[in-house]
Amino acid sequence: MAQPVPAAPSVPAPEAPAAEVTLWRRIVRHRMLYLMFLPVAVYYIVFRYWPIGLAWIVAFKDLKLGMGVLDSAWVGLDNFRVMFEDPEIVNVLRNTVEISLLRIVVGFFPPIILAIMFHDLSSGRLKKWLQSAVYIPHFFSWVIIFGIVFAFFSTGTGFVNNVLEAMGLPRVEFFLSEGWFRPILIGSALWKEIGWSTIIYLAALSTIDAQLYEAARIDGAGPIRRIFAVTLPGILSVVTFVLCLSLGNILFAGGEQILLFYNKAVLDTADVIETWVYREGLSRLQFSVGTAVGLFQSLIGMVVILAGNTLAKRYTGRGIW
Amino acid sequence: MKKRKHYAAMAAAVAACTLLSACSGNGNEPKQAAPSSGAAATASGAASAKPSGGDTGAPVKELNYPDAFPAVPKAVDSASYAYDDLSKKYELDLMVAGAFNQPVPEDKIKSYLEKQFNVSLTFSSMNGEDLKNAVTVRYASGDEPDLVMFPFKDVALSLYNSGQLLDAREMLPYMPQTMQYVTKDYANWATVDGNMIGIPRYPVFPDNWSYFIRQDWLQKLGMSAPTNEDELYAYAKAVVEKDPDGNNKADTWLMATAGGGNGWSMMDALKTMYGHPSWNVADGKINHPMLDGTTKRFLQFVKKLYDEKLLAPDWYTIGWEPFKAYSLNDQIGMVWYPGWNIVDEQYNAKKKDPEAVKLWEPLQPLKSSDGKGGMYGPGGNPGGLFIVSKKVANDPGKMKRIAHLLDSMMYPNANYWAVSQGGGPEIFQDDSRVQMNEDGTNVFFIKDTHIQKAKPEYQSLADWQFFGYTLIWQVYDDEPVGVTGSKFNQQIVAMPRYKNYDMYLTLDGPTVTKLNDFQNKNEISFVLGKKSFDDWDKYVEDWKKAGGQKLIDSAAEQLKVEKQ
Repeated sequence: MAQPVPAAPSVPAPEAPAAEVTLWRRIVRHRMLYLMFLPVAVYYIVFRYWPIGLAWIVAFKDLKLGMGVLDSAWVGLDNFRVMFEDPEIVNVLRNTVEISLLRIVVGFFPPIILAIMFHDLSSGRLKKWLQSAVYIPHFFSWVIIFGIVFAFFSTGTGFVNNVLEAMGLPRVEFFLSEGWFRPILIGSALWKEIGWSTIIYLAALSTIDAQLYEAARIDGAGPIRRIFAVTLPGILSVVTFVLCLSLGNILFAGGEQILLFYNKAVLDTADVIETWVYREGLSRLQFSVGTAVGLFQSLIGMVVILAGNTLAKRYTGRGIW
Repeated sequence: MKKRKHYAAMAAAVAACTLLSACSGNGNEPKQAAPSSGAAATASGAASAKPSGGDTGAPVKELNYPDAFPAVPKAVDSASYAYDDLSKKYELDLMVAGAFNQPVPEDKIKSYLEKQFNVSLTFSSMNGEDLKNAVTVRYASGDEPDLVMFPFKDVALSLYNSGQLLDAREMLPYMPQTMQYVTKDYANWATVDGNMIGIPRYPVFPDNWSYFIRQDWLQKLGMSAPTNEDELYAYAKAVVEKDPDGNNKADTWLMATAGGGNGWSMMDALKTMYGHPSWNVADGKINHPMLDGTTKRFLQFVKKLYDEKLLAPDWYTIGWEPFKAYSLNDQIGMVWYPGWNIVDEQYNAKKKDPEAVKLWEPLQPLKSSDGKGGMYGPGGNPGGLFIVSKKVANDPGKMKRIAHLLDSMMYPNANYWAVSQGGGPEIFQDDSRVQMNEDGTNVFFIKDTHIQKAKPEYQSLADWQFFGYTLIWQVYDDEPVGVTGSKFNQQIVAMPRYKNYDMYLTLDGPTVTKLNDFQNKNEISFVLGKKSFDDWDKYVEDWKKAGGQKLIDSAAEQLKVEKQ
């Protein structure tokens, strides 16, 4: 009986040289995929890249409503001059950087810790319940969040002040205090977003090979040791990625939230670039100045991201790209 | 293969939709709908003209502005609108600064107007600040509304200067009712460099705002109504320390700003104790409350109230509506309110207790300890502007339709009551009552069964009234609220007021708003003790540098007086 002859391993046909596979031929070959990608490309071109292009033009023009972008007069760097000659701008820039850094410093580690805690929970049901509970605030608008914060911190009826009074302590005017503005701002933002921010870390944690934990346990590593030896190295690339992107928002301090939370009594502490642009650009119809400031923010953000990525590569060996 | 084609078709459709939605026109072209199938609209309203088939010309041949409002307002003849060919249908986009700003499940006022005027209406209402932003963004994006009832003259001026607005004099000849209220002063106020940037509107409220003080508390405390700052301070101390509501709790205070942290709002009129609260002329020279010590003394008085804890909790940050939890709940001794409204709101807050209408009474303007003041702030201000997109002029028929529609909503024209207070008898026959008196006043009563009152989701029907509604000629005959409220309104209107110079000024809008921010930020700092009054003179100099001097120069030039 003849032994079956093992089939010869299939040898892939040699591909045509890359130079011969033109972009057009690839498009034709994968036309279905390209066709489905088309709406996405159009969306990004029309709603993302085209406005960036316009912003580069408007920032150097004196935009008049009736004349449109192209017909308005070029004014060189005048719009940037308006920004930097405003007596408020130094304070505004300082506030922006300080609040952004506070957000990064205070808001960066808690989601990582929370994600690791979720990851280590043995009860799946409890884990799901807790995750849902911490995700919910993300879906509240800032108006709702402010309502909740006001209910907690108002002088007259706030929960915190009621507790203080019950303890025999004086009531505190939290919303008139420059000292309390930032803790309330950052704290409420952290409460709103901490759950949602854990998602990316949970995804990264799910990719860590379970055998590594097993090996560490056999080697005698306790829970804390396993976090430092296995978990954190396993998600380091994601942590670096998130940190670099966060640095890009160094001049974006959360204007929407601040607009709702601030009042004139705390303006010196609370006024940031976004609120300044809201007043100068939109309320006073200085669209070009507002656009110039936006461009300035983006450029600084890009520089900080590049610098952050370089530093991350140097010290951790990992970066965004 | 068939499946592939199917996917290809789907992808192509999605791509096409995206492209179309991204690249579709943004309303640059005048919106004009095809003539409706019915051709002619019904003309049941008094102001609605029958299709004339031809332009009969403007009813106002010459723009002669009156010196004052008519002594006895009367509706104009509906034949005045024969210029409007109602057989042609138009799409109109209207915006207004409203009070409720929620969508309603079924807008019967809109339907009524659409039928009356053969139009398709887009109606948006939002609060003032949102309206300012929404209007500027819409103009910036080329998607401007046709007509906006706009409270911001400075922004209107910027839009006009950008070539975006119609000169109001092009439309006024078609608005005979409105013309009765565009007084010489109003016309002057709305005219900048020879151009009328909008149609000035009469105010919703006559000058019927004043301080109100708790009568039962005065009686209980054995005090009479304060007449000056010292007596007001004594009353404030007594309100806080002597438990006027008798509940043995320290839960009563003088007042609060109720301005949501954005200025002095309810407390602002205390400034009038010390002098004119706005631009004025003193000894032939331009003057401002920052320059003559008025603002400083006002802030010192507020600081005294604050330091001695005589103001309500959250006194600076609390908003107008939340503050009612205090003011209408026996915890506040003084409020700034329109006459009828405080009576009505207190009456309803007390579950329609007839005694509630006696709780508050208007307070005569207070004086300072050295005898200054004794007048409330200037009155007679317009209630905003109607601004019209310049593109409307591309279609004269559309411009006339807007003029016709708007004019019909002015007092006491055919649709004035139809669109007011959530809808009058023309729409809700059984739930509203109108009585036009011979002296030009009117009684306009909305029953509790009216949908606007009975169903919260229909509250925003009342936002339609901000085109033409006014309380200037409205009187009340219902007991106990209406009669008492009317009496208070009349008392307040008769109170002395400072002369209004602002009517004759058009100051640079961005500088004015920037300076307001500057003042608000610094003034609260003085009150909270973050700044010392020892540094006041330096603050005034900073104020001048921040734009104050520019405005001083401009105001002096426009009023043709010397600078200080």
